[in-house]
Amino acid sequence: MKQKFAALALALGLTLSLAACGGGNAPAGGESPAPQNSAAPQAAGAYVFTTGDGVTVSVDEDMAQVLTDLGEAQSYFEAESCAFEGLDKTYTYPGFVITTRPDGENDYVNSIRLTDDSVSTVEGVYIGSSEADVKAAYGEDGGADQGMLSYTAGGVSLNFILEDGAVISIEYLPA
Amino acid sequence: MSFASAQFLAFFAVLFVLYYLIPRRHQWKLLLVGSVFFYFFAGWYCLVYIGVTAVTTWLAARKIGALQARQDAWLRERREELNKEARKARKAADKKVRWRWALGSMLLNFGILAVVKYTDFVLGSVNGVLSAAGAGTQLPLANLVLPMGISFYTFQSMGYLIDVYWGKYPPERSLGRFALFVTFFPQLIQGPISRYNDLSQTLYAEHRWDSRQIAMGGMRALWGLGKKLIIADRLAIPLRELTAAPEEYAGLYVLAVMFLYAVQLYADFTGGIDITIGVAQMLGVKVTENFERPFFSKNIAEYWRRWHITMGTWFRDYVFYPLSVSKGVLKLHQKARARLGEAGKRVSVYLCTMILWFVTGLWHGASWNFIVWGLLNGVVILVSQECEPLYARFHGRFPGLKGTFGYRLFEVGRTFVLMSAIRVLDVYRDVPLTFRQVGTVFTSFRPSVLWDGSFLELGLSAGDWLIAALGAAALVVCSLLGRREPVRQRLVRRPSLAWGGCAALVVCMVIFGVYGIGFDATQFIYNQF
Amino acid sequence: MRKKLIFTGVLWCVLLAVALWLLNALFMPKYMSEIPEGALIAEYYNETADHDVVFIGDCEVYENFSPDVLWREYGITSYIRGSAQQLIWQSYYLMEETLKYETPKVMVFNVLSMQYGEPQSEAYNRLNLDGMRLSPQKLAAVEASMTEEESMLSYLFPLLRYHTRWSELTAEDVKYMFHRDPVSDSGYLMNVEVRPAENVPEGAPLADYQFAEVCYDYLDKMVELCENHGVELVLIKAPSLYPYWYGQWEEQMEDYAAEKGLKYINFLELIDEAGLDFSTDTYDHGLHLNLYGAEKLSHWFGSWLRENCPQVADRRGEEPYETVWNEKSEAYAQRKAQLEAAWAAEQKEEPEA
Repeated sequence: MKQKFAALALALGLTLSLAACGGGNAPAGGESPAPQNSAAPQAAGAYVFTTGDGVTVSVDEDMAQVLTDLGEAQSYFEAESCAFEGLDKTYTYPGFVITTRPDGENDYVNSIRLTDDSVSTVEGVYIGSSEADVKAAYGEDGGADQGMLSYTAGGVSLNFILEDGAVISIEYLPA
Repeated sequence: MSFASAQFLAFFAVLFVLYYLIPRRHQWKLLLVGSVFFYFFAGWYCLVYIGVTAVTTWLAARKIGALQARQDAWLRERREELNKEARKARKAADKKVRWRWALGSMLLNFGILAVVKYTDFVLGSVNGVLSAAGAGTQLPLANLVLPMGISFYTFQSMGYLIDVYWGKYPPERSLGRFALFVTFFPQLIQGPISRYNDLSQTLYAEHRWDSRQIAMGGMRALWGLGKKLIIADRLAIPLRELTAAPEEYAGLYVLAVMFLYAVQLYADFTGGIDITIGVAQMLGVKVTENFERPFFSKNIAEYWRRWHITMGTWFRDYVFYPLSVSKGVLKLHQKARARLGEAGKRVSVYLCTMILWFVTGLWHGASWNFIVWGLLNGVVILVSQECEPLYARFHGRFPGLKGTFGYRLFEVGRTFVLMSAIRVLDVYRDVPLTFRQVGTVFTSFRPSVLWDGSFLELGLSAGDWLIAALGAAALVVCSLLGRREPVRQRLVRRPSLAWGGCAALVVCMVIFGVYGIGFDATQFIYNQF
Repeated sequence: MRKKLIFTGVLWCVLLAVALWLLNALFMPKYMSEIPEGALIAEYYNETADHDVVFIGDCEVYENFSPDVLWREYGITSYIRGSAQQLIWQSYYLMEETLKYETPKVMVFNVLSMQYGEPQSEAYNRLNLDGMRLSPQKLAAVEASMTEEESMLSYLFPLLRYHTRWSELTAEDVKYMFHRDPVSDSGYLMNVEVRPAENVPEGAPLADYQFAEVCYDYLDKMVELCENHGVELVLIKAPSLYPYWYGQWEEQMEDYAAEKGLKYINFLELIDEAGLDFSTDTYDHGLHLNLYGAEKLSHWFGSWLRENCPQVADRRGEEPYETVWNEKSEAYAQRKAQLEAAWAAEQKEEPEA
């Protein structure tokens, strides 16, 4: 009698410990079509870029708005993607380059890349900063990629490419 | 493995062919192997849960059966020497022991269910209280994985155990056969909750090829798949949109949510059950009906006798009845009667009803919206009971009304609207939000959204809405046609018509089904319970 | 009675299968008036005569070489098995499949796709794979290309993928249920428009320039495959200015070619020698050459082939090639005239800014 109760208790214990460590597995019941509040397109706290003139540009922003804020680009290039409609556009400004992707009628900012040290990130890192500067500004954990430090906040990832310990490229991308 | 997947189709095709090729005495073993394989697909760890339930329940039931047999033998041997009191004493003592076994197994199995299903609900509620009290600390949630169909198989197993304890039938001797009863794959995902004495009639039997039964089952499964792929999954798209941004979709949209969800849930749940019963029928196994054209019910009590029938009867048999005759409730009944007189009679009924619906709500999901939903059902049922005399007086004044087609239509419509309204809690999954949303129906009712194209912004094109509407109309027509005899029973007598109908349905499903890239495969809603 | 029942069942199953097959033909995208790139891969199966040179690769082959020039000027018979954003494993399996139909003397592979080490997009997969006939190569290509959301089943029964087109079917879908019009000239997708290359951006620095291992694996397999069939594999990088071709990439390709003893031509370094002028010879600002650029490039490449690959014969005057290619040339000239007229009309309407 006692033994059997002990066995039952053991079984329960085992199952529960299983339940506890089973967290990583896919839920067996599956998703319900129940609502999940979708996040706003650009969460607060996302990395944004601010130009020398104090204009803020963020990833996923409508390019039309950026163009009104920044004025005409120094140079402009458009590339049609093979086979499909829509143009990927590249706008070059002094110190940075913005590329867009089409979505319906509008173009949205897909990347912002800093190209020289006339501009810097809001957190003060610029082309030529050292690896230590980046880590001081953004933290030690910059991902596992060789030659690159990557940080993500609010759906935007900020990538620093390093060469010989110095930043040679800074790019804002959708995470 | 979802019913609406290529894997399931392949799995069932192989199983089906093997089933009728192997010696018939092995058929049930094949079903067991298939069921375990099916469950294995959901993750091996799930097998452990269901295995524990199957084995412990089987063991406990065997023990109870053995104790009962020993008691019977003991009494028989001493029939001469014992008087009535001594026999009674022995029976009572033995019953206690048997109860201990039953209770132990129930605590274990309901315990597992409670832990995996309700831990986070409790923790979340505690956190709510903590933050309301201004405490800074929050308990971390456990994020336990809910094994597939755990609510269903746990209830099915416990129903069996209680039946054995009550002596309704002797326990199943073979662990394998019992395991098949618990894991039988067609009903694993979303029920129905079968009874052992019912399912065992056909589950273990040897089945010959029976074209008629197989055709009937096949048609039913196909029909269920169509309901799900064409109607339920299609309507799930706007529902997701409508509930994802509730503040944007208020007023008339809430009414839309109410009715769309009614149709969607019906198509999804009955579609799934059709597949379950159809597939089982193709294997010669008769699974209990779970629906009886519920949306034609004239009141809520009737609705609950016709919607998710096996769950309703389970709660009735294993919760409501035992509760009603339990010592505590009987005592309460007497006290209330003594104090309040005639009105006191109702106290215990009210209490039991509300407990029943509380538990029913809790069973549906570990969150407050389900509990409120359950309780609302109970309240509506009690209120309509109280209103009986009023109705009687009303009908006394207008004697010709009752039974007319128009009045029946009114009753059906009223029940449908009422149930749909209560069910909104299930859609928004948040009690305050639900009440806010329903409130907006009265505050910001803008009917213009009906014709200004707003409904085309919800993920469905005009063509899609048309298909959904046609599908829903087809459901109503088929329900009406099937009042006396299911449509497929008529079809099966006309093979050409049956085949043609099935082929047409397959074509419709392939084209108009909501599946593949661009559509999220929505699983059957009832999987999660 | 029983026999009759079985007969009815079988009959209906056959009917259902036929209906689904017809629906499949109806629902497949036709790629006739839009996205002609999607029709390229299947067009190869209409070829009647063998080819001495087969180009394999992405848009940098099917937009930049004109087989007609190779024929007219050098008597070289060639075909381009190119498709939009063709990934390297797709190229490999197309190569393998091509070798089932014919054994060319030279296969030319454009190396731009070395940069993609993972399946990219469902849409391009469909353009590149749907056109292939069912074969072990197709299945392998699908297997290698599938993104997470895709399933093999939907490639075997494309209706499962395209069933949602029921609301957008057009007359074109009915017209082209069982045949297609040719969209290319021996795999070359002609474009006569002129949009000069300006402000082509420099490539952004990358964290890692090393091509993925899987790409090298497929390149190795290509080398081996060609060796086994006695076909010479020539690697090229087309002269497209964009997407940017990094020096670090160039280095890797040069090293690879040297190691395997392959000929490798980087046309980016030969732009002047081939006489290409990116103010007139591109239709999209430097991504792809237009007809005039493609003809110049083909002229240069033909002479290179003549010099460096003597096994590629001059087939002029030889049947069936003479007849086949004369027909092709006629169609080519016709298409050219048509497109030029259309472009001229468009220019008149709204002079390009």
